[in-house]
Amino acid sequence: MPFRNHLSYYLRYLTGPFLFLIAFLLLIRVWRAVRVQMKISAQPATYFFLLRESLKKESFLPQRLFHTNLIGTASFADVRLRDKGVKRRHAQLFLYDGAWFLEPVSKRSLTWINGQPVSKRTKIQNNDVFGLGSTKLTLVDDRKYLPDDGHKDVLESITTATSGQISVTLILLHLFFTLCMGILIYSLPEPFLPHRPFIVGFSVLVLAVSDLIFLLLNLLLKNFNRDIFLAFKALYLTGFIIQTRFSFWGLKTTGDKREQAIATRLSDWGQICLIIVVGLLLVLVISLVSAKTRLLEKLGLIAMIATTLSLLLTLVLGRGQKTHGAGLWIYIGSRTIQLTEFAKVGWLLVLAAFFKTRPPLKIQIRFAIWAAANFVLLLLLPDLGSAMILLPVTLIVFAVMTSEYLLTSLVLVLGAGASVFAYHSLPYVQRRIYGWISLWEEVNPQNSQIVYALQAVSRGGIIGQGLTRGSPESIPLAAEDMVFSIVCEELGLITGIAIIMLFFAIWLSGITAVMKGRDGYSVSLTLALTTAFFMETIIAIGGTTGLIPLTGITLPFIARGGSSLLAKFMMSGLLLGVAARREKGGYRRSKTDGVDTSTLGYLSKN
Amino acid sequence: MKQFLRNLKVVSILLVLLVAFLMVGLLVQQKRSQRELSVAVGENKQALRQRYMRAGSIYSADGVILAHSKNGEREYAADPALARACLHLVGDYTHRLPYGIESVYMPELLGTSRSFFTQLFLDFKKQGFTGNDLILTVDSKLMLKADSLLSDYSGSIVMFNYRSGDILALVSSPRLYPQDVIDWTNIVDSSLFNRALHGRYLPGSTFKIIPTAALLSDGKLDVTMTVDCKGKEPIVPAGAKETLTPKGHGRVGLAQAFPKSCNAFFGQLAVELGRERLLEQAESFGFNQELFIDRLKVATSTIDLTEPGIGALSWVGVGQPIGRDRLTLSPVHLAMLSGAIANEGVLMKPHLLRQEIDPTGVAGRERESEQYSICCDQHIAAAIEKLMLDTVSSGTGKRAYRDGLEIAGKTGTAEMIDSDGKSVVNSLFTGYLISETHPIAIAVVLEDENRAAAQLAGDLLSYAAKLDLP
Ligand SMILES: [Zn+2]
Repeated sequence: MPFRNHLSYYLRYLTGPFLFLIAFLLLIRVWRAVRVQMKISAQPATYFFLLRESLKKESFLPQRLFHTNLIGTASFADVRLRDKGVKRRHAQLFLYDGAWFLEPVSKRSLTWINGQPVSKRTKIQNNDVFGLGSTKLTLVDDRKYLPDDGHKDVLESITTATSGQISVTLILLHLFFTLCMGILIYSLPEPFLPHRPFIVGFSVLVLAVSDLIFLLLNLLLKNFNRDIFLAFKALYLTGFIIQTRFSFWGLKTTGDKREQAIATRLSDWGQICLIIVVGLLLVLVISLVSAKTRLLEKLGLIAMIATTLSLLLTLVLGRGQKTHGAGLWIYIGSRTIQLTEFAKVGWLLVLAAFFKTRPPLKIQIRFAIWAAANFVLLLLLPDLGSAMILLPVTLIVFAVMTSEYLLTSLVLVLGAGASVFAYHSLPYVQRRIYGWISLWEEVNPQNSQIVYALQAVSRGGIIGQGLTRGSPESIPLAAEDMVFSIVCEELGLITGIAIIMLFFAIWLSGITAVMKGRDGYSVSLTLALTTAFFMETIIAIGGTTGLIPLTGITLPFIARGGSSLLAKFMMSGLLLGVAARREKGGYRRSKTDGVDTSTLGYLSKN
Repeated sequence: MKQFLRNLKVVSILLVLLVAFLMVGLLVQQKRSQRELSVAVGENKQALRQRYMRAGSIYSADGVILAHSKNGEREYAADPALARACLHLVGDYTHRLPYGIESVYMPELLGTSRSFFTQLFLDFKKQGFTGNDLILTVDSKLMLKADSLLSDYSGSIVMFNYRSGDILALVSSPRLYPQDVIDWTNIVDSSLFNRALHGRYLPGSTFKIIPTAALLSDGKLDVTMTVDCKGKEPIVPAGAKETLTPKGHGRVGLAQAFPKSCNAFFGQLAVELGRERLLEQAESFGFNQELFIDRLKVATSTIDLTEPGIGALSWVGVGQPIGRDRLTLSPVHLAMLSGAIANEGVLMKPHLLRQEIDPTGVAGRERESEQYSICCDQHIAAAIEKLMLDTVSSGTGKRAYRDGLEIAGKTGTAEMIDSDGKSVVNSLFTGYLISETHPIAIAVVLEDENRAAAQLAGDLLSYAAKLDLP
């Protein structure tokens, strides 16, 4: 056999392990950053403390402060008072952009500042005395002892990757991409050989635009989280490699229609390149806008309407595609668009807007009604996969932001009840579950897809069979829903694990950003986005490998599907943007009046 | 802040657990599918063809190619008759015969079962591309002969070396040419079914070996017991009676009853042994136990005695249960019954795979013979051997008698109701050649036929005795 056919076979010892190395380096770095950030966040804010004045004992007790403090009688309160006039969660005291603010949790928690009752968020200064119940507290601001260059946290620098680490990852990533694309372009099947320059050109374009965007974000976006971007980059480049492989191999058409088939394949591939380029531009624009402006906060209502509308539109106009059962595609001419992918993004925006802080019950109920209505729409479509992603994401964001454990458990129980109901009333759910249960006993139409996918995974072994050497023709929807199995067959289980590691690295980076974030909206949106990415991955991979029932969720960035890819780029843009939002630097000795009060509507978290 | 951090920590721990679950789950699923899913119904034929293009070869014990890949095509034995005879055993690359060597040993044939370092080493030598070769224990000449003797019968023949456990021949009929299976044309009814491995037959009189062994090993019963056979008149109400000899055999002891296959005697013997003793003896001969030949699963032979009354019990003694009683036997197991008697009561573990050879020509360890189970004592086996020799020399198995050969055996004729509700008589024979150079046990099962099994067995054993077996 000619060397051409063997190239990918022998280089498989490099391809999978290469991506694994990239993922491993990223994950280790991000893991360390999370641990350090946990420590930082648990540290009190230096140079500030609270004096507690006990009316009975006539004594002062100094109390250390975090960046954000809950004052109340609850055991988990940061400033815990034993006072009958104080509620469990009474007020929030937080530092933002170098200034301190006090905000009563609800209208009924009576609070005074220097003798004046307050019901809204109020800025307080050194030596201001505020009262809750019968307790009086005094804020002490010792910043006059700060050194001239302001306060810098030593640990803070550890959590951001050095440019050395970044460039190593970047170089490895380029090598991985060049290696894989090199294999593909070198061993291109005969009918596509005349188009080689075009293919090389577009591949280089994809890589060049990636680097350009990375460079621009480095320059334009302060606090740009390069680890998140690199993880995204590793993922969409892997996806691009796999989709290139799908585009040019396995051409069966012969005769008159062959030329046409070749042209279709090329144009489809060109479209993927285009979507990546457009997606990257979206990342740039969206991340800059969401980091530098407060536009997103104003989108809450619009997102609410748009999400419901796109679900309704899909319900009315949606059609199934090929063998897909669910009618999630809307045809516009010959092109299809999957609005549900964008609806998911909308949902996350709504979620973040509602739970930027612990909202009163009335607002929680308002959200619950909206969410339930949209859930019903999702089940009617049926888009079981989206429902399975959005439910845990919503619960996690809700639980973390509000600490309403009881309500969370209640929703969990309700969710379990709803799934039992769905199982009994929706035949397609029953079929899916049956296919999953009978996976190891028999091959039936409900599980054959997973069986063939698992066969591919098993053939791949640890390092895979080599790019282009798998057999996607044996799995229905190999490029879309089942793409993970082909990744494992050709690049090995090691690549599959690397993909999980990359998504986990994104989640951990997100968590670091969550802890660094100082305003509720950025925090909840970061949490929502990063958790959504993660859940989608787990559910897609678990489904294709038979660990959980198949849901029709596609693997973000890797699977084919323009709408999904574009929506994922939008989500990455949002994530990079909100994760970069920070206070305007550390606190300084100079006056700290430069707070933009327009942003304060979105401040504070627990 | 404290609470928020705590929430985050809890969620982080949850997700770390999820990631761990997913990664471990992936590894587990991969390992499990390598074990259990190497073959699945409805696999893509084109993809399989691609994969088998680099598969290793399958050889018979005497070095004849049974399957190999050449010029990007998977080819089967060059002699079309041999290819047809081996179809059930070797299988085909489209996995339509999911229990053939091609399917069951696919990981070895494609080389995907190798460890990472073995593969690395082979790749380094530029030999990692092709899979491993397999050498089977079957003999191509015996396979061909057995297949030609089966000719138009529906049935199967199993031969194995009772000293080593090597399967020498395993054929099933009706059968097909591999190309017909691949193209899915000219598919004869039930021709894809491997009767030798998966057939479940009524044992008929071949089952009498079991009560005989029970009688000989039982201390309480009188070994010299006799029964007055009255032919069509059962000894116990609704019990076993003669169907072929209406006048009966008169008063017979074991020495006469076994060669003549007297139903009255064995019916009475079963009654006196009782259900439990019979069941125990049958299980010691491998009934109700899973049986594998290497990776190939054999249909489990079953005995289940639930029908009340001594009449029913006496029918079990002659291998022809009635009512709710169940008694089935696979042809492989039938051969092993004789094999155990021949080998002094010790059953050898059956093998089909002799050796695996990697592409650089390095041969794996040759399979060693090992004991599978001890069915009965040596002196009991010797006594039964005597009875089986008499059966062939002067009893019901005379058709298997060949001058100059010591053949022991037991015949059986069993009436079965087939799937259409029609009554069918099957002819069975189990026996062996007493020879140190050719220690061969044999089972022949012919459907819809009442006597030819012994004839075929005799022909095949005399043919085998002249062969130079490895
Ligand atoms: Zn008789």
